[in-house]
Amino acid sequence: MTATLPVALFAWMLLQVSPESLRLQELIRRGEWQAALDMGETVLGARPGDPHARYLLGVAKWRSSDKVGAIQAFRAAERLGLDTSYLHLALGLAYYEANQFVLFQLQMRRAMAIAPSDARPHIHLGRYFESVASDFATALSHFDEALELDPANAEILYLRAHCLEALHRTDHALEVYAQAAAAGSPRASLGMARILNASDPEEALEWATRAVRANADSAESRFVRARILFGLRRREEALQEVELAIAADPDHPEAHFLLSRLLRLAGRHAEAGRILHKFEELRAVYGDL
Amino acid sequence: MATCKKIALVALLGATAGSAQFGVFRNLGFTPQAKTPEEFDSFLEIVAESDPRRRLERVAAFASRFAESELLGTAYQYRLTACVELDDIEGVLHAGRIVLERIPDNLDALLTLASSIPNAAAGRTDTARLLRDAEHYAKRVLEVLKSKRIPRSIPFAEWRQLRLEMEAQAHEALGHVAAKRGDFSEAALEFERATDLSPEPVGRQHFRLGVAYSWLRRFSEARVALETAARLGPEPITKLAQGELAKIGATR
Repeated sequence: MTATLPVALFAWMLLQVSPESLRLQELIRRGEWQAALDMGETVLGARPGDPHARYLLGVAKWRSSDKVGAIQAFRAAERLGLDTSYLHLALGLAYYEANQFVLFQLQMRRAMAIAPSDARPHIHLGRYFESVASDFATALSHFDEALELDPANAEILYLRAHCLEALHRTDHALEVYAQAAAAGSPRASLGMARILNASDPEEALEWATRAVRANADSAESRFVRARILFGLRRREEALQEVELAIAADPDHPEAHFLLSRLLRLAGRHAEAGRILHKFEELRAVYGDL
Repeated sequence: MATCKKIALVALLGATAGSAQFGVFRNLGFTPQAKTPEEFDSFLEIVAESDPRRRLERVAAFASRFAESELLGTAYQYRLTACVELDDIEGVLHAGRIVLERIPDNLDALLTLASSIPNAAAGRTDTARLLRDAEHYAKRVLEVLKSKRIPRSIPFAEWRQLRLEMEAQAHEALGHVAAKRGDFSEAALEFERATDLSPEPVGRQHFRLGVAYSWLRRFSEARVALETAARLGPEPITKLAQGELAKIGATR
């Protein structure tokens, strides 16, 4: 999960903050991070107890890659009494980036308590349970709640389908991937391709081709397409596709394994051996498939 | 090795891309968790402190306030780097051992101990034991690296470079231990391994190789290694290498 802090939606603040804080906010909105940092220090020099300015300084620090400084600024804002969903979301995501998942969850729950109609804390919690804790059932429950709050959100639909796929609820996953694809999620095509490959590889290939068209630089899309082509015995095309997957991600272990098999089948034994060796090196470092 | 580089090095072992600033508390696998925001605030005061003496104070304050913290081992890693910066060898030994008790096989602590001990071992009653410890730590680095798993977010080429750097440092430490025991043949072999493995040439390693060759009276090889060291630097190594070259000139 990539932590993206809310930097633009400060409308609620407009009536509450000082003119200096508004200027600081404008610098952040324009992405002028160094100017925002300088301005933030100036504002806080004059008014050290301004929680809004502390929060904004935290955002500027975060965007300037000073993540420790960002957490400290957010915490200072919190100690000064700022208790908004934006602060809790920002602080929670900053904790997430620091692998502090207990504190991340605490902040997400505070954000939910303040803004119960906001789907984002549920999405972030779902992504944590999915990608860090590998607890797909809990992740799914968060995505379900997020979807109730934001029913047309293609990304939530995709994430929900991904959890269903991980829980081996394949038919249901396929249905939700289709909804996500219809809602405009480019990643849903890849999920469709993965699942359909077992029962209908020709249709799977269509979905994989869509996924590649949507993101030509995605190694995973190209790898899934190559694997489907391999299953369909279209080996020349599979070879081209898996080479493109490796070009997009030179450390993709499974793509190296597939390439090695394809090269061996093409009688290119020396190259196949070299690629297999690379696969074994990658597997030793990144773990089993 | 400079503290910043060491922290960045360990960060690479555990961090996802773009999060190197969180440094040593991002280890592979289990990540220690703060239980309260106040505990993490106190920990971040250590991370943010650049002055080594003040960092030691922050670690002591953290350890006293959060004695049961999962972050304590990592806090002691910061104490270890502070002791290295202060050339406090007793502090290095103490902090390094505490880190290893709490985070076994921590590469940063193993390498720091293996590299620091030989310099401090001379003239002590426990020299032999200290050198045995340093040898054990260096060999452990090599063992751990053989089976180390890394997250997919770290590119393989970057990991390979880092691994070679650490292997070279471990062999350098083994060579240093051998030299302190007066076994210059073994020392030269280990320093050769270090200079061969190191992805970037390191002046200090070439200097130590040159000195070992000199002890073995392999002067032409010594000259090449010392000239390389003098060229690579940094300045103290250049001066030392030039001094050794002068001695070789006088000897021949």
